[in-house]
Amino acid sequence: MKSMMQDHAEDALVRAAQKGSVQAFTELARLHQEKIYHAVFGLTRSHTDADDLTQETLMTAYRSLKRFRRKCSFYTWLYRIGINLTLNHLKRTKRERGNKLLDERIALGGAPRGEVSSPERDSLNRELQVKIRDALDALPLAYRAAFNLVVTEGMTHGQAGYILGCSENTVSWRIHKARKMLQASLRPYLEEERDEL
Amino acid sequence: MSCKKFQKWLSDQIDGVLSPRKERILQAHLENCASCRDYSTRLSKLQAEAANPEGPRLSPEYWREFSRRLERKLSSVDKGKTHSAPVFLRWRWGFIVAGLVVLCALVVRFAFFRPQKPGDVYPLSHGETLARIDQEVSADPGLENLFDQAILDSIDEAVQGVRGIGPLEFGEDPLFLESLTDEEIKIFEAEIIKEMKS
Repeated sequence: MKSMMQDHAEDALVRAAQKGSVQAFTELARLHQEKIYHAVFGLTRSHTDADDLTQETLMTAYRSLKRFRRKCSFYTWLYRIGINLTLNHLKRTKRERGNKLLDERIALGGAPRGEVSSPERDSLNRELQVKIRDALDALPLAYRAAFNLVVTEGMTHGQAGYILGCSENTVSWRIHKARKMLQASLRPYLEEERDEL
Repeated sequence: MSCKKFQKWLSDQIDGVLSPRKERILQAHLENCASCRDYSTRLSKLQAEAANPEGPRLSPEYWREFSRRLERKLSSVDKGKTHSAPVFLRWRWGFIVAGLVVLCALVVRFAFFRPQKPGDVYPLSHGETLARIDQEVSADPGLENLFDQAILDSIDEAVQGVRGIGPLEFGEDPLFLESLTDEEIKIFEAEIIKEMKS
């Protein structure tokens, strides 16, 4: 019920923004900017790039509002713009692994959910997180994008396919390949972790 | 079925897109295959770790500043340009194609269907030229006699030219058929038909 009301409110904002209301668009941007930022950051690993690309995504969306036909949610449409801009940016700069990572990485905090926290466990999980992140960065861009959208962002294969401009089946195969490559490169850590547990 | 296929199914299972029928087959396989069970365990672990939202934790102040920057950019954008492109830009390809079609039509019109002026002589139309000469000649009896004479002279010239080369066969003499009587023509025709039949 709450979700339906939110959808309705968002739809009203989209209509107002399409009629030229900057205020309505700013409100829409406020609703989604953080999620867009995190999706972009997941691919670029650079705060500066993620910030710039999120701004660019919102500006592009504002310029293209007339072309939004409500075939999907506004959020998915925004995501599509953001991910495509990011992929283009990464292809252009050929900098899939952000060189600025070390300078800009902001510490990730908290113990993984549902686990008993202990200094050893925290350290182990943190190490595994870093390894996973590095292994993800080493994946081909198409696999990484599909994996991020489905696994990290929790999208369906259909939504990811719409955003990436490919079929659900292609998304399914890319994620399978990504998982296979990740588990191959992380196998010692995944097994080590399991043994220690 | 190979384990590779089941590995793909395991991936689909994690994403919740595996059909119930495949799910049953997969469970039966996992009970008997230690390698796939291990793979499944590793994937589950990987999923749990990778699904953790990762990224910098940014302060509310950062997002307020982010929104202010965006608002500044939005207000500086010309609304006329942002919301609709001019008609000639939106339909530019339509206009280009229409222009080309009109150009082609004009080329075809003037190259092949050019209107004829009264004084024009169409080079391929001998009939019209001869008709005009005939009209001019028949209007003046003196000119008509001269014209007839010129034609007869030209025929004589042609006959003598041919005779000069060697003895004439009956078919080579331009006046041969003219000199035959109706009876001779009938005999000649019958001989030709007989020849054709044989």
